[in-house]
Amino acid sequence: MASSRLFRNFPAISYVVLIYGFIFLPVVVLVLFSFQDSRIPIPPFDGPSLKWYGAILDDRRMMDALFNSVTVGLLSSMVSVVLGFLAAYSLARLNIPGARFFQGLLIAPLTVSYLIIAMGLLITFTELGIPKSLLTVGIGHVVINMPLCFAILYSQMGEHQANVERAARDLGAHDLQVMLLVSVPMLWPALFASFVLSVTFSWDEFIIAFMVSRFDVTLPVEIWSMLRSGLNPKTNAVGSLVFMVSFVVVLLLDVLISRTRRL
Amino acid sequence: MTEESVRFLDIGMRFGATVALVGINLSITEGSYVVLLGPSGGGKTTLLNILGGFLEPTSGRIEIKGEDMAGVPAAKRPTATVFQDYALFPHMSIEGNVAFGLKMRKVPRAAREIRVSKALAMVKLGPVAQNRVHELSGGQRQRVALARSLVVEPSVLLLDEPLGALDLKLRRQMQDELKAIQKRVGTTFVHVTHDQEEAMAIADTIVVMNRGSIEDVGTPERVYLRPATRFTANFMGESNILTGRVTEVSGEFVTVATANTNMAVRGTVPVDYEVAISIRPEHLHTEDKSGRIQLGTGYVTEYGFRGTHHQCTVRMERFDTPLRVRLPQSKIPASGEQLTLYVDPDDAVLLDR
Repeated sequence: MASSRLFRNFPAISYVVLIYGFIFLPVVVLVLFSFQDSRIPIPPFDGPSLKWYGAILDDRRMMDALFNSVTVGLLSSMVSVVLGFLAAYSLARLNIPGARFFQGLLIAPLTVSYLIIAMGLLITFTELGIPKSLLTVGIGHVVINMPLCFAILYSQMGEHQANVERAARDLGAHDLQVMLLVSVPMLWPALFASFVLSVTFSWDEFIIAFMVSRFDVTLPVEIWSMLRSGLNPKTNAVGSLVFMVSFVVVLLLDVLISRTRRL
Repeated sequence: MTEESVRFLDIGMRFGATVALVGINLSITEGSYVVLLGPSGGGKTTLLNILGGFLEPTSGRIEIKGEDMAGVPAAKRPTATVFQDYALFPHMSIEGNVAFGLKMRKVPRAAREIRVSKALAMVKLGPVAQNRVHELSGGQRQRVALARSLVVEPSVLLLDEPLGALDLKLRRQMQDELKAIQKRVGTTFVHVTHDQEEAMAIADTIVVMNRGSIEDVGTPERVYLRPATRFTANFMGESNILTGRVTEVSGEFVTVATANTNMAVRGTVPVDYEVAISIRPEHLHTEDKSGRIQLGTGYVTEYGFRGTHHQCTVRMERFDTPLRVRLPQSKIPASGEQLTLYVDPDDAVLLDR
């Protein structure tokens, strides 16, 4: 009976296998050949070996880039969340003339390609005489992530939350207390989600980081310059690391959100 | 004992082109339970929001204990609100919710704890003080909201359809409890609802509102038995409205000629005026007794048993609209049955408008 059902569902199952294969095969290949023993990451697989991971950890430039990526990711995401929250709070709660216009203006960058944003930033920084550095990369990442944080947080500030804030005010809380004691704790899952999403976007963002950085670079830029000297299992290893970090962070987010959802 | 708690002076409110309130004048006695009753869109919630400081009226002024409330924000008013959706803080324990207002008022920890546990005991929630909001039932949440507002000892407690989200049985139970708590704490309660049974059960004073103005103010008995306006007569329970013309004025009584009969009712309206008379369905009788007036005969078109009475629709000769009649439990009507209806002149109410 089980086999007949399997047979009946065969087209559906093979479709699912194909789809997931299509999505995940490149990642699987990348990760698999990061454990390759020989110098060329192509079949046949002759691992497993961890020597390429060791090589990365020994690579001073790679480790610097990793540290830069983490710093830029955390700081730019923090700024994005704070700015996004303040913008969402004021547009959702205060009677600002033209609120819808400002809302549209804030979300608009989401539709612009990173390449265009990168070029715009490059021109602006050059014009203003701001030297290219990790700071400018961070500013670039705030530019792309703040609209996202704004959109997520704004969508969570509904009528019910507004009423709870009203209750707090009614009980004698002043504006800052309402924000810190009620709005922020109630929005905590959304704040955390937008922070983590920002970190992952910043973590593997390449074009902006490439165009507005100079000597200190982030990990994707470092990987790119490494790729120019040809494929080797070391690139696979660092790629796998980047992927795994993103994966773990998203997993963490999912667990946390589903735990707080029950409140 | 008749100290004034709240006074509305000629309050008007408009939202753009929409007029929400017009010429509201109302005094609320200290320590009374006032119910603002009316259909949705009647302006009762708007009035409550103006009193709570969530809306600024476009005209007029409000005084609480003689103090002008113009420009005083909600946080600074001696009012506290129980919201329709309770608006509890989901990220705090029940205790945390109740303690919030006291923390904002910087009440020292020791005093705060005593007051919180007293408030929770009053609404019988002591055992669940450490629970989270999502662990409580609807009725329990309602009590938390009540305790949270009462613990700050407001001069006036505002309740915005506080029982609206509860099922009927719980609602009836909670309304008795609300009334008991109000009597115990002695705070002025201003309660908004569209449920006239709820209003009658708990109010000391009912304020009937419709289309942004006050239709009637009085005790539940007064408002139900002697409604001032046609709207009140229809909104507070069922009513039969007879129209007629005043033919004679003598002392406290006027004689009104209706389609079927001449009726002497209490009132002061000049001769020849068109007036309306309200008669409650339970005030129509099938037996003649001394002093009763005969309204005429008609036949039963619809009927149904309602537990405490039989509800009938009786089509009368020469009346435009059929009359609604409540017959006693023992009198089982039949379709098409001929009935002669009588009314006590004291039960017929002359309506001002």
